[in-house]
Amino acid sequence: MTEQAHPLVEVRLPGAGDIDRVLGSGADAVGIGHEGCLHKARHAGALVPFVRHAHEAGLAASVVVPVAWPRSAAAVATFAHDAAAAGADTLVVNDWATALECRPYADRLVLGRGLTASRPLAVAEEPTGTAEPVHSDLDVGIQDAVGDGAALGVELDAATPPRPETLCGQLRLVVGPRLRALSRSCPTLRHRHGTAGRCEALCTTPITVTATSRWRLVDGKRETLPAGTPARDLLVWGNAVLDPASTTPDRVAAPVRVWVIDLRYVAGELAEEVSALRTPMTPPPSPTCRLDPVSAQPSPNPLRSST
Amino acid sequence: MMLLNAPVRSLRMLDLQRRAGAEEVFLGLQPPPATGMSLDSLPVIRDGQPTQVGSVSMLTALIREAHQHGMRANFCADAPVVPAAVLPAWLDHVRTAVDAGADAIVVGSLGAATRAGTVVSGTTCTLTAGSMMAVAAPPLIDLLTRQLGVRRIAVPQHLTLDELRTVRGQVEVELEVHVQTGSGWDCTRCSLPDQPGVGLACRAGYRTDAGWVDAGAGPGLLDGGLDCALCDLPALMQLGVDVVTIAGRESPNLRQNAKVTQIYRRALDGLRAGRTMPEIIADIDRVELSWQMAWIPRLCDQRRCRFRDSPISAAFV
Repeated sequence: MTEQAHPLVEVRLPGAGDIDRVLGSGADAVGIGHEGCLHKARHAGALVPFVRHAHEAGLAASVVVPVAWPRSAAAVATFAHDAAAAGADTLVVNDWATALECRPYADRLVLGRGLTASRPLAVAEEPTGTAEPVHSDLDVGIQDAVGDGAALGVELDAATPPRPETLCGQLRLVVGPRLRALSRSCPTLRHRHGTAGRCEALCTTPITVTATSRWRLVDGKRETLPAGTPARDLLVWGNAVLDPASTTPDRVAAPVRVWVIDLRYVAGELAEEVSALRTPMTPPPSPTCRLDPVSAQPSPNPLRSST
Repeated sequence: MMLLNAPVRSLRMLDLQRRAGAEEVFLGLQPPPATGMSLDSLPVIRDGQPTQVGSVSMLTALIREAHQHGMRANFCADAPVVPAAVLPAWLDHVRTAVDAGADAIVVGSLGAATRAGTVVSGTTCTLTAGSMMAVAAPPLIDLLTRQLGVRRIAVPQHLTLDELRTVRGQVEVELEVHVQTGSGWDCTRCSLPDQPGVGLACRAGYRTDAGWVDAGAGPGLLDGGLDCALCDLPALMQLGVDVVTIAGRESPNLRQNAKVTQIYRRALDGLRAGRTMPEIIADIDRVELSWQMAWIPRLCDQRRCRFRDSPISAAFV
């Protein structure tokens, strides 16, 4: 994956058994897992056959390791180690505790949307009009880790790529709905009256929601949204909220190493979507984030410090 | 002894919170205009209310006043993201607070945590890992406390009592628990509030494509808020929690916010005097009009119990 004339395309699958849907599409890699929920990535027993099947088909294999919520932190760590032992080519981790667990796998470690979707809070309460951020602002901790080689790269929503000058390492962009939020208290479980751990079937279809009322801080009551408020549709999928209106920009200034397509959102022919993303890439710039911008000293790297 | 930490953004608010029984305060400072982002975990304005102190001189005055009354001042610099371009401004922000006499700096990102030590080094000011860092798993606890010198951890809002007990057993560090405005969501990763006009979107009401509509006063479809920990103060004390933090830097009603502090104060004092929570609540009910008018309908009736079984906690993944 080091010398390439065009970006690679990875197809993220709903489940480990869906590899055959990708064969012949021109994709370079397949992935399984979810940023927010281990229940949707409970493929520990299927990890070895998934990786083997992918490799036999000539595809690289990625595993998304979910956020380590307190109850599942140990299971998430085990899942990450199992994925590495199974031979996964890329491990996408979504919280710092799991990233620390995965330090031995630095050469295949990617910091996923659970880490990169964090964003600074505005000076105003909320944006005016329909303004949306066009870039993601990465925390210096992420730059430290990637800049020092303790992680291979970062994965972000294609709708909000990083500013090119802040990028180092491999850039992976996820096409499709932008990740808006992850919840420990799963809204799908609550709405569909499920039980945590026995809930995979509840996540086969998303729930589309639209705001109708706003919450008043002063008394904790909800009031109807004023007429004309541009409330947008949101997708609730499992314990994640996504924004289906977000779009991939026509041109991404930063060099994309891997495009990620989530098969759940592919409406047309997968092969056409794969082909469309394989435009030639510009050479990546020299990393600019290896030095602490304040002191010009090597930046502290929390993932490296205790190895 | 478990302490009460209360929000402050003005001298009047400090006075109200002090009289209500707070022993610590936490406060933020408006960022320089050129920064373009809040340097802590709240937007500069929320629901039309300022969330931060407006000037360095006011910050200094508030910290001095707090110290005169024996109160610790915790400075919030807990932005969930500190981009490299903003890092110099963030470090200046923290230096300003240290110079103003802040007793602790609350950080919200790992990048910030790795840098803040250089500012507080050689001072009496300490570091707190804010709830924005969602610290609960051993590798991160170990990194923060043993290598980065963090002295206090504010645990995430979605931690259960059992999980809190586990954290307590793992590390000798001050533990802080936020109460009264919780969230089943991970606020660090959330951009739901970016919907114009909808306000705090996790607490908004929604309709679904199947025609279901959030109705009534209870939690809505996206609302994972577990707020009140009053009935579980005995358990928190037994666990060795060091600080209970009342939310509300953005509060639109300063007296109401201080009333919450006062009720927690009554409960803590009552427990220390050997009374039970039912006795304490009966006492509160006798003297506090807000108990029946606000607390019960807004919290008890909606089962917004921070540490009790509820539909919200039953859906924890």
